[in-house]
Order: sequence, then structure tokens, then C-alpha cells
Amino acid sequence: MRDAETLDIAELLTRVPSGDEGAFATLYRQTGPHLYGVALRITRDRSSAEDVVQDVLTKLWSGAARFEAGRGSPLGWLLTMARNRALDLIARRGRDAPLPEEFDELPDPAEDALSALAGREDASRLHACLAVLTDDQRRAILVAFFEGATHEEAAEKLETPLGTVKSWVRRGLLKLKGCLGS
Amino acid sequence: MSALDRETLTVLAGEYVLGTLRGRARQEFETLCEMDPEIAAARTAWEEHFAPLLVLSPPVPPPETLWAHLHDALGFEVISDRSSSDRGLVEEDVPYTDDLPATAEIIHLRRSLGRWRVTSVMMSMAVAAGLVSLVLVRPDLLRAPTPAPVQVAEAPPAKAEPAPLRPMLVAVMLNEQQDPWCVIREGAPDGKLTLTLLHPLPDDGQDRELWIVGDDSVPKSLGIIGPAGLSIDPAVETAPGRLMAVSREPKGGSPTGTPTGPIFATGKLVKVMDL
Repeated sequence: MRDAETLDIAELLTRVPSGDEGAFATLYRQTGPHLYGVALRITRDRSSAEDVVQDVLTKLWSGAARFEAGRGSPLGWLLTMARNRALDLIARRGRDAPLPEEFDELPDPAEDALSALAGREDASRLHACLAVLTDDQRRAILVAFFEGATHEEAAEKLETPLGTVKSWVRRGLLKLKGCLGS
Repeated sequence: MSALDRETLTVLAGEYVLGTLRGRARQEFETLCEMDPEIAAARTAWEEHFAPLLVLSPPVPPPETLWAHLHDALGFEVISDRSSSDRGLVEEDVPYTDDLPATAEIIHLRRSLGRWRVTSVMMSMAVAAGLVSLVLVRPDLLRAPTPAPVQVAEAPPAKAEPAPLRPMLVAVMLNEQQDPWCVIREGAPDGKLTLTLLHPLPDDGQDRELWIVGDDSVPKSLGIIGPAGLSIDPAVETAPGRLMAVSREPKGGSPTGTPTGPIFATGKLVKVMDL
């Protein structure tokens, strides 16, 4: 199931830059909600999140961004682009809003990442290495990652002094890298 | 060897990818990535390590308007019905292949454009991606020198509101080797259509002329490209999806009003938001 889906997105990604509107529409249907979800969680602004999705898909259509086989999951690659764009955007525009209500009923990925990764073959190493971190280190890193939180925002969310959170992130990253290898 | 020790590099790249690196530090890290492949590789490695997590982020249905905006921005001609079946969801509508007037010049242009569509699949996109980013992030770097302003603004400046998104059209024009040869942008901030050369004009005693292919499939001249590029008021109908081409012409430009020489570079306009 997972493999079929992955193959499908990879194939769509190769068809889109050559001007295949049908492939583009299918890709949008399959990945639009994922892209929008990632962008909205970081920007916390619907209009900005739309801009991010539009930017990513425009780059694909124009051929300015291109998936290379060997870069892992095609969906992961697409979402990384969206996340980067969303981070650029809040770096420039700032962000001063709570998480939008769309997320009220949804699980917090920072909370269930470990169990959610457990069954995924493509993420077994990341799963094993995240499990090596202390609970605090892992949580600090995941909150920063999913929400695009600054140290200050993470400290607030984790109700922990800033210096402690910075140290969790730093030590967590080093331990994670040591486990993941280069 | 990177300018940073391994531990610093690991943490800095990791914090960049997490997003905890902000402000000037973020910008400086990006500059470092451009200068030092080892630093860029450390960033990519973290992105790839973390990518599986992103797939876990719960999907949220985007607003219906987003699809319409995309359609508009990319110049699709047929609005699809999203409830229709999977393949062939959007009717294939590829202009510039079958319905052009049969003059030799246009056939030549068409053939070149057709080849462009195919070979663009294989072109080195890292360069073009960088260019598009550059156009988006630092449009000032690509702005051609413009003549001293002579007109007085007709309308008073709008009152200072939060800067709105400024739509603009961008085309990265590739030459036969699929290298970006120039960049065209139209729209914000001055409304002009500006061509910026990325390579010097060839010194072969001939001119390079810029064309846009209109709805009627007929190329219209936008002018001769000078050593500083080109900056004009876009009196022509520009739109997302339009093809642009640069042809090689005798001194003074095409004598016939349509391209007479071989196509030198081509590109397609896409609408982007100047975020």
C-alpha cells in the first residue's frame, strides 16, 4: 500500500514538469492536504499556508524544483520544500497567532511521533535513534520541528526554562546525529 | 574541510533545519551553505533524516479557492471538475503543437519550443531553482538598470498597509544547452517587463530579439536585447503559461516582424508571489 502510493507520487512528480495537467491535478489531490497541513501548522495563517502550497507546486510545474530518485520518500521531499518555504515566510513576516482551529481535533504529531514511526519501514533508523534520546530531548526537538518553534516558543510550550530547552535541543541533535551517522 | 568544526556544524545545521535558528543567524547560515558544499550537505542530511516525520503531520484540506488560484497562476486553460475520474482529469490542452500558422518561421519556433518542452525534463534544475529563488528573494539583484524615471506617478501612493502580496510573472529562459541564459520578470514593484542577462550577449555581429507567443500563436516582438538586457512597459498581453523566446536576428532586428533566425532561448511565464 505504502509502496504503491510512493511510486505513484514519484511518477506524478516526473510527469508534472513536462506540462502534464492531468498529473498535476492528481498530484494536487493526493498531496495538497499534506502540504497545506504542514504549511498551516508552521505559518498558523491560512492565507500564508496557501501561498506556500502554491509556491511549491509552481516550482514543480515550472521545473524549477525536481525530485531526484534516491532522495527518499517523494512525499517527504515535497513536504520538506513546503516546510522550508513556510519557515522562510515566518522568518520574514513573523508569526503571532495560536495554532488555528483546524488542528483542534487532530493529534499532535510531536506527541505520537515515536509510535507513529514504529510501523514504517522507511523510518526504522530514525525511529530507533529518536528512541535513544531522553524524553525531554526528543520532545524539544519534535516540538521545534513540527511547529517551527523558536527556542523561546518551545520553552513556553514545554514550560521549561529557555536555557534548559536550548541544551535539550543541542544535546539531542548531537546524540541523534551520532546514532544516524552521516 | 568545512570552516566549522564537526560538532558546531551538526548543531548549526540541525537547528537551521528544525527552525530554531532565526533572524540574522538563519540568513548567515544560508550564505555559508552557498559558499561551502560541506555545510550545505550537512543541511540536506538533516532534511533527509527528518523528512519521514513530515509525512506524519496530519493533513488538512486546503480551501477550495486554492485550486482555482493555482489554475490561474499556471495558465491552465481548462478548469477541471475535481469529482471527475482519476486520469484525464484535466483535458490535455497543449498549445503550440498542432495549430500554428504554417509559415516557416513559426514552424521553426514551434519546433524549438517543442524540443524545449521535452528536454526541459532533463535539464539541470539546481541552477534554475536557485535562480527562481533568487528572483523571489532578491529581485533587486536581478533588476536591470532602468532609465531615470521621467513619469510622475498618476495616483497617490496607497496608504501604508501591511505589504500585500505582489503577483509577478517570471520566466527563466534556457538556451540550447539548457543553461539559464536570462531571466524575465514582470510586475512588482515597477510594473515593467524586465529582462536580465545572466551571460553577456554573444559577440557575433547579430542581434537577439525577444518574442512572446500570444493567444493567436503568433510571436510578437518585445524588442532587441541590449547589453544591459531590456526593460519595457508591457503593452503586450502577458499571462501565465505564455511562451517567451529569444531569436537570433540581423542587426536591427527581424526585418519581417516574425522571427527569422534560429531560436536562441525559450522559457514559460509562471505567476509567483513576491512573498
